[in-house]
Amino acid sequence: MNGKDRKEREINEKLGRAFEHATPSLNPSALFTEGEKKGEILMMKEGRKRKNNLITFAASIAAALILLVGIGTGIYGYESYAVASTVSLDVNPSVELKVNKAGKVLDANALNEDGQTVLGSMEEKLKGVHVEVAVNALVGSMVKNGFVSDTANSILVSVNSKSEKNGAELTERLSKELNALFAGSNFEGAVLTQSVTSNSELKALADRYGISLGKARFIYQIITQNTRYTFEELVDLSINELNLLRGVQLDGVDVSGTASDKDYVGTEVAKETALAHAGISADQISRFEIEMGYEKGVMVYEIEFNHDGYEYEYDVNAQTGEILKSEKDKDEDNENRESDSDVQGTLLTKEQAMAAALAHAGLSKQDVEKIGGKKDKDDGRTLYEIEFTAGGYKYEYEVDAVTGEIVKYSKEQYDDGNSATDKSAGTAINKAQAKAIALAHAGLTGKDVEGFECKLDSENGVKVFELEFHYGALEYEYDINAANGTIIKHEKEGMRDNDKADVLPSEDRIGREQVQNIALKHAGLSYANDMEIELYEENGKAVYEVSFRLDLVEFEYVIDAKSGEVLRVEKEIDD
Amino acid sequence: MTSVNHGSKESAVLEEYILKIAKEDQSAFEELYLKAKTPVYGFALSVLKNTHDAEDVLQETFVSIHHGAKSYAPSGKPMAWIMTIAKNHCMRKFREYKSRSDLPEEDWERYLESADRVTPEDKMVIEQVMNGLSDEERQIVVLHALSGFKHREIARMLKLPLATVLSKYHRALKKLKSHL
Repeated sequence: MNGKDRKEREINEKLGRAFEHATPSLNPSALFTEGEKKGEILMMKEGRKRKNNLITFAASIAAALILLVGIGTGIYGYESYAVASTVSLDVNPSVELKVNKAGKVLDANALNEDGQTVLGSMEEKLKGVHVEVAVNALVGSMVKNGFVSDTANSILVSVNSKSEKNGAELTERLSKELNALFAGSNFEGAVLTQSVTSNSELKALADRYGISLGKARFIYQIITQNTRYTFEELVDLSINELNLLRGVQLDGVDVSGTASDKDYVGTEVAKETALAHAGISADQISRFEIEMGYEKGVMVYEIEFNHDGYEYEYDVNAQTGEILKSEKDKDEDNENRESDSDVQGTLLTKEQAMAAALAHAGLSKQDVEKIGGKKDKDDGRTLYEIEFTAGGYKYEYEVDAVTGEIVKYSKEQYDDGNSATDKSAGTAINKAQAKAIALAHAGLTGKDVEGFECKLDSENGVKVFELEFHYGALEYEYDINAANGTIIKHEKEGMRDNDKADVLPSEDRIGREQVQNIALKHAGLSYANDMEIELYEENGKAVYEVSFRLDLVEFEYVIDAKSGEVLRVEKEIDD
Repeated sequence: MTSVNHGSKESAVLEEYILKIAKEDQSAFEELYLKAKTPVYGFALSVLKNTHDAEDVLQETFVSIHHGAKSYAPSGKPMAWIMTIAKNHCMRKFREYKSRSDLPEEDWERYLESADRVTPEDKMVIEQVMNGLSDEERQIVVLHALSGFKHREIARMLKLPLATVLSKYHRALKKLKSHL
């Protein structure tokens, strides 16, 4: 009952003595004057250092904190396990943080291999940490691992929040945090922030490509603005590349800083290269446009200019400066372009063109996995080129933008290796195999789990086994591609943030109220203040830790969660 | 026995020193130094695991105490304030080394032999604490024994759940009991 037995006191005294003897003798009066003298200089020096390396500096505070602390702070209270927001950080590495209402991280997940590198051993340690600290640490790790640098400086932060107000607030806080981080660093960062609302379309895209909802939204915004790209084409690009490509301001995306193009030859060199190839000097051209594009897997500078009645078009490999495409056309454009804008109102919209193509193919929008289109000009005729895939086929249409006439179409078997588009092959694995895959991934056996549920669903044309099961206090959810057995999504929700939570299922342990009564009865009390009860695991045993106080006395009990036996008592006088 | 008993009387004394230091009272500073050097050094050692850096932290902490005294808001927890400063200086060391794995490891015995006040028994105690315990166990035990922190305060300082602190403390104590 007495918290400190004799032996414990003895050990504490021995420790005190030993460390006192080991403490080096410094001259306190010298320290005092040194403090006086050096104070300001020290502070200034620190200030400067801080400025130069703020990124590594600030990030390593968080990293070090996490190192020292080892395990994140506990998350107390019942509501705090509820995920209030999901924050994703995309660079090329993608990491997703589940955050509770209080802004503490409940779970950190890497969404790709690079994300795993960034997360490293921090995964567990981020839990319970404030989301800003976690973001700080992750960006630090990205810098350290070379994912964020002078040549790739764009970070996309996306917040998906249950409450719109909280989401906006959190977005702003994180944006500030990152901008402050970059403000003092030795390179300019580009921070993109957005609030994301999950809808089934975005969610399906994110799941299908294994990317964050945030990146899915960002790409989606780009392809809506710039219809020549398809989602799939852009999905593997880094945020910096996407940031360079996006061109216009995207809806709902806040931008600060500019994307770095230091990895590329630059617009000047690209321009010179194209002009030299055309044999024209800069002062001879009448119109000049340059923007970044993405062609056949390569970042390019797309250059257009006019000279002497001709229109020139170039694609210059942005990384090597090599000319990938050069075109020279009679410039009948001047009138055309004007007439173009005249008839603009009478042109079909892209949606109408898509609808025409779908109608021709006998499909409805629901049947289609992905669809993209762009407006193009062919022999002076404005056309929409529409592409989509459905039921294992890839369709390509050309639709006259004025008349809606189908000018050309093709349909071919769609081979994307692992895609489950062929309906008969849609379920190459069965339920039992799906279960085995999920259990293996979770590190569990069939005997361990309860409440097993499995159903076959189709997400965006992909057959998916959706599995759910419990293990102790943990809830697992898996989505497994029925065609090839790959895990599309997995979630694990636990009740405890730090310990492994292999805690007894609730029916096998006594309730909190009962535990509280056992402790109070043992202490000879009928009531107490500051009651805190926590369930955790100790030496493979589920135990409750109950603490409370009455006046100046603090009680701490450890009670077996199964038998209710009092295992340890600690009583301290708070004098 | 230097353990600063964390009672309210002791706290009041330390608090008064800090308030005097804010008014540039050198003798108060020296008194405080004598009271707090062992907890600060012990903690730094338990975190950084080498005497050279721990000594730097000891020095830097007291330089900071001198500066910071003016900003100290009396809260009845002067020791927590001091140890937080010490912890921050440990963090700075970490930053300098970028990561803990780069911290120089040290030959304990050699150092302890050269420290003339360290008795053979002291040496055994320190070796047990430094080598026989995990990082967290060591920090918890040292904070408890030297700073007189209650488990709840340790939990707050190390940002660990109280339950974890308690179970680690008892595990560590068991280990030490069997060796000392």
